[in-house]
Formats: sequence, structure tokens, C-alpha cells
Amino acid sequence: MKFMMQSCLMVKDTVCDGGSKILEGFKSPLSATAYEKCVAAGMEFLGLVTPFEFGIDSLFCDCPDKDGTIDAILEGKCDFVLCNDVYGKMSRMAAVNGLVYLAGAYGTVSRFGIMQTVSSMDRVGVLCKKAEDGIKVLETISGKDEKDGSMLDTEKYDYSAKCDKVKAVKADEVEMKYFDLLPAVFYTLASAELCNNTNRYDGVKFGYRAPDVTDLNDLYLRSRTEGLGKDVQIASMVGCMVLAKENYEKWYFKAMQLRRMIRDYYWALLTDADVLVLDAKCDCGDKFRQLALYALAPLCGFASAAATLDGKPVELVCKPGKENIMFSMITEG
Amino acid sequence: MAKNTAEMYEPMAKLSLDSETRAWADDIIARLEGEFEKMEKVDTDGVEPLVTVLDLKNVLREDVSSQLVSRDTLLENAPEEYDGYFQVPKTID
Repeated sequence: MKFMMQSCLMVKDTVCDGGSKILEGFKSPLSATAYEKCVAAGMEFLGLVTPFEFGIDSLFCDCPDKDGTIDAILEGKCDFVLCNDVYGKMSRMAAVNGLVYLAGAYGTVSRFGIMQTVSSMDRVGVLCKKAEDGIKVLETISGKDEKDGSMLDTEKYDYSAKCDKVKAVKADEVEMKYFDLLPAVFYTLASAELCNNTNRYDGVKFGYRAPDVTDLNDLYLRSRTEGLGKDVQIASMVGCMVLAKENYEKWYFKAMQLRRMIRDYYWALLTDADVLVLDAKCDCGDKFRQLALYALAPLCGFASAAATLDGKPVELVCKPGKENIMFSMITEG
Repeated sequence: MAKNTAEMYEPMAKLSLDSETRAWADDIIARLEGEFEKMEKVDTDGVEPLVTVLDLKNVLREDVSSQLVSRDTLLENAPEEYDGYFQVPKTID
């Protein structure tokens, strides 16, 4: 199989800019574990594709239904693309374009060598045409890696076992408790982590440095302002705000408590049922509210699969350990 | 209580937002403030915050030094370097 990667996953001695001006010309000193595993399995690497900055999505600009990553599959340039889909953009675009996007549960695929964006939610996923191919790739890249300290102990995963009886529930058939709160909880926690992770882009050690700076503060401020995109700037600023001493307890801490309540509720729901079926839409009008359709899997550490089901674009979500049951819904035969 | 604005937190984020981005940021802040009013109605007393979804203990390793990437390799990406160090503008007069 031939593959490409979004440039927020790194390949040694290759310029990887994560779609950001701030990493202009950055040559990676290491390779992502997911990349190494694919190459070791005999898969052929063709090159990098540029994501929206660090794999996030713009909440403020209209985004098309597809981008260069989706085109790489639609135009047959490669069989799959490895991505880090932080705000659910790839999942949504995959589903509406008749493609498949699979992401294992948090801690099943090593995050080593991806550009850390939202550390507690970063998940390497697979964009492809057929679910069967994606499952094979996910089995290849998953499994414990000593280089990532936040992983489950399992060495190898089997996602291929078909399951005939799947108890799937649609969002309108169950009580979607806390659903209205998901965008704010997600955005608060994601911004706080993104703010910390993007602090390393300061114009000192690598990447873009603004010209003709007057002092060190000017170097930081102008390099970051000129180098980072608007959505990353806003998320970084919001991250500083929710982590500030006067807001920490009432916003950040509260969001982390709600994250536990959300996780516990949906863990129980997905213990009773196997798979939750959500709509996958590229244009809900309100992009902030749209995050609710995606936020469940990253907030709870669940596995997800975006695909077409009964002619409609959907996102499926399941608990760790039920991936093969979920994948059975989108494989043939 | 002072209303939160983007401008208040820009120095902390080491950013200087342009007027369009600042307006978007203020919109999202106002929106989050509204959302948090809803969240305050949810009783979270005694709930442990969820920092990571995995029930992990701290991961320890042997206290042995290792070098994943060499100094020279790291310096290759430096915008400016001098004598084996990252170079920045003068910080002390």
C-alpha cells in the first residue's frame, strides 16, 4: 500500500511544517512511530500533504468540503493518509466525500513524532477509501510504544474480527446528556492544551523568526504573531485566559470535572449499546456548535469511524475494545 | 467583575492580534462566558477532574542519560546560532 502523511506528523530529515508559517523550513530530527511502523510493514511512503494549521479546523472562516488531504485519496495519489484530526475536520470531510476516517481509542496508537497539539486528545487516524484498508493500517500502527508515556499496555490489536450482531443507537434514540455543553468543554480544554503546546513556537530554537527585532520580548511577540495562523492565535489566547489564576477554578477546573461526568455517562451508555451513530456534517451553520458532533470521542478517549452508512455521512463512536464491532458496520460482506 | 477581552490576555500569550482576529476572539470569549453560565448550573461538587482518559500512574525509567537527538542536529534548525548556542538579541544592557 502507498501512503502519505499530513505534515503535522514528522519524517526524519524532511521539512515538516504542520501547515504553519511558524515552522517554515523546519527539518525534523526524528520520525513518527506510526510512520516507522508503516514503512517496516512494507508500505511505501510517497510524501507529505499540508493540513490546516497543526490539524485543527477554523472556527471563523468558511472551509470547503474538501482539501488537499481528501484530494490525495479521491484522485488516487495514494491508498491512505495518516492524520491528526484535532477538531474533527478530517472525519467530517471524509464522510461527506464518501471516504472513511478511522481513529483508534486514545492510547492505542503512539503519538511519538506528531506535533503535539491537544496532548490529551491527539489521536493518529487513517483516511482512506475502503474501511478494510483503514482497519489493516490501524492494526499496523497501533500497539504500545515506549516512546509515548500515555499508552495502553496492549502490544497488538485485532480489529478484523467481524461481528454479526451490533447494537447501534442513534443520537435521537438515547438521552444525549451534556450534549449542549460539549463544544465549550472541548474548546476550553483543547485551547488550554494547545496554548501550552504552541508556546514552544517562539522564534528562538527553530522555525520562523521575525526580522529586525529590537529585544527578546519583541522577538517572541512578533515571531508568534507573524508565524501563527489566526485560529491558533485565538485558541492560544483563550488557553491563557482559562488557565489564568482568576479563571482557573471556575473555567478550566470546572471543564475537567465536566469531562469526567461526560466520560462516565457515555462510558455507561456505550457499555449497554455498542456503537453511537452521530451525523457528520461539514456545514451546520454554527461552527462552534458543530464541535459537539465530534467532541465526544476525543473528550472520552473513544474510538471513532467516519463513513457512509445507509447513504448518509455519519460518525460512529465506541468504547475501547469494541472497535471490531464498530468496524463491522462499515465493512462489506 | 471586569469583562474578559482578548487584549487582556495577549501579552500573556505573547501575541498581538490584528483588529479582525481580536474581534473574533472577543466573540468566542463572550460565547464561552455564556456557556460557562450554563455549566455553573451543573453540580460538580466532589467530582475529581479528568486530566487524562487513561488510568495511568506516572511512568518512570532508569536514571540513565540518553540522547535522542544530537546538539548539532538541533542547532541545524536554529534561526540564528553562535558557537554552539541559540542566539537571541541582547537581553541585559
